[in-house]
Amino acid sequence: MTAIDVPDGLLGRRRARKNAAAAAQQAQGPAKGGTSWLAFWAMVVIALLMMAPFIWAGLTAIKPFSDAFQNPPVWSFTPQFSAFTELWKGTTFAKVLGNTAIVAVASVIVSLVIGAPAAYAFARYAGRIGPILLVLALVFRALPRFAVVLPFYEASRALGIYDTNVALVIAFVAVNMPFMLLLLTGFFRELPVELDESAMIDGCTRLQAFRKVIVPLSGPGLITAGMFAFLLAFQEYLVALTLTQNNAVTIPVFVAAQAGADDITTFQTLAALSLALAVPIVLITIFARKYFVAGLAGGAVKG
Amino acid sequence: MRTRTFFALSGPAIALMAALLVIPLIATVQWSFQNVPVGEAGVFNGLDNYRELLTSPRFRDAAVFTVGFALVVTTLKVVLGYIVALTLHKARHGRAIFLGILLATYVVPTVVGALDFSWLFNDIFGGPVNRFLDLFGVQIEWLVNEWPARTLLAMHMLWHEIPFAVLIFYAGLQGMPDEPLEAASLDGANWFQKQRYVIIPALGRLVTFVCVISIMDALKIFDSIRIITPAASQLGTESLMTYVFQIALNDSYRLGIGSAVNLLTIILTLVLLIPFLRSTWRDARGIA
Repeated sequence: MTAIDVPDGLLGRRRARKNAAAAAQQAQGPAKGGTSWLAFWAMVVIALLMMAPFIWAGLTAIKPFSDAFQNPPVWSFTPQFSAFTELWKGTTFAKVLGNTAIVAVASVIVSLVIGAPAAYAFARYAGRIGPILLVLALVFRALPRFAVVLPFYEASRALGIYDTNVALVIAFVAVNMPFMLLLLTGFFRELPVELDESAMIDGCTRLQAFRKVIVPLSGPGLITAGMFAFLLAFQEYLVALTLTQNNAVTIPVFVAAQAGADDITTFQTLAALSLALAVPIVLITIFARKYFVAGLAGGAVKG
Repeated sequence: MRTRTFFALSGPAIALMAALLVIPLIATVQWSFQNVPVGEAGVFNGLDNYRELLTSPRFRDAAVFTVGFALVVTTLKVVLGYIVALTLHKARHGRAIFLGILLATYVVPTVVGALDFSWLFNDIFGGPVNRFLDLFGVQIEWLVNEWPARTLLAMHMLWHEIPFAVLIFYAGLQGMPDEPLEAASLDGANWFQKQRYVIIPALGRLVTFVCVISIMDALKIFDSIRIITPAASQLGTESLMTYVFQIALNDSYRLGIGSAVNLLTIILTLVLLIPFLRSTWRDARGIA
């Protein structure tokens, strides 16, 4: 199917292509240069428009309270950072952030420990497993989350783990598993079979070959898969909303609750919060672009 | 690899998916034919849930809105995503950084992105977009009537998800060989003809792919509606998923009827994907 074809254009050969494209552009003379500058400035405008919500939230966060709620907006003001202190000290944000981080780290560890060996087995054992995994991942991506989460809700209440981190980690690991398997199976398949075979000739068991030879070579793949598992805890709203109430609330639920209160005094702390989240994410996507691109295009069926 | 090793390595993951994905799914199918109060066993009630849903105007409105929304947003996403990808492909410098910036809007939690995006339209904060529209004498109350509210939701979804389409199309453009384009140039094709007869056919499969992902996602729209239009059912922006939430977990606790909505949503998703699955199928057969 289509999804599997995507990564070729982006991974590995990408830089070579880029250089070739740059060379081709230069070879085509001055008229070409003109349009490429035009395209560059068009991209600057597009990037600014895309960033506008974050820029505006950032301005709102650092305006003095009286200036933040002026209409038409005030453009000159003395920046102040009390919204950030208020966010940290005056709300439960610190607790929620800590909780989200715990859930995120735990789901990364659990999904990699369960998912990586399985993906390795899929990559090395069955020839036909690739398409099946793809279909499975696509099917679970197409399903409405509630089709899985309503039973989770009922079960977590019955088991007494409703509103705990444990329930959230289990749910996130499960929801993310087909995507993770698809992604990792693709990565492991790129490693030549000779690697594990020679390790086993040297006396390693299959498990040792995986642990000592394959895992150390799969850094980028494991980072990509881990990063998406980590982000899920920070992104996923529906699952967390359904399975939590007070104790295990994660950032999206916290943000939605604060926003839903529609209280003018919380808007600046919310702005500060979104800035505190958006800035690291923008920086990470710029600097860890390689991993995002590999995950989004290669797995392409995240959900 | 021996079969035993295979199952030793993959067993936990397979068991996990069976227990936590497949069984819940079976429960959903079962519940859709039951009356299920929270914390109690369901009681079989045949097709009552479906009968109730199919005669309910609220369900019909949610279904029509969700499907219409998915189709409109997907079309715009493909067109705009293609234009931005072409621009990015042409840009002289900083393509990698532009791509990183675009992806950030896709990666930021939807809840946070939706909140920040809606603030641009909120007069309490001076609403910069509204002030801009004032220049042209246009004044819009975004959250009072259904069409402005729907437009706002669509704009948010485009802002949030166009980067994904850009990424996929950009990858396709980067991977395209130069020869067909050069041949087209030699034959005297203009820019538009090159797009129409060379580039777009070459990207056909990627367009299908973006459409499939986009329709799936748009039919599941939930987060942004909860943030941007919390009063969705009065505003005409209630989607199938926000309806499930209200009926199964918020206003009432009817897990059975919520599960029936989930199943109907699955069926709707399949129906909408049929044309794309058929073209993929034909592609696959054509190659084999």
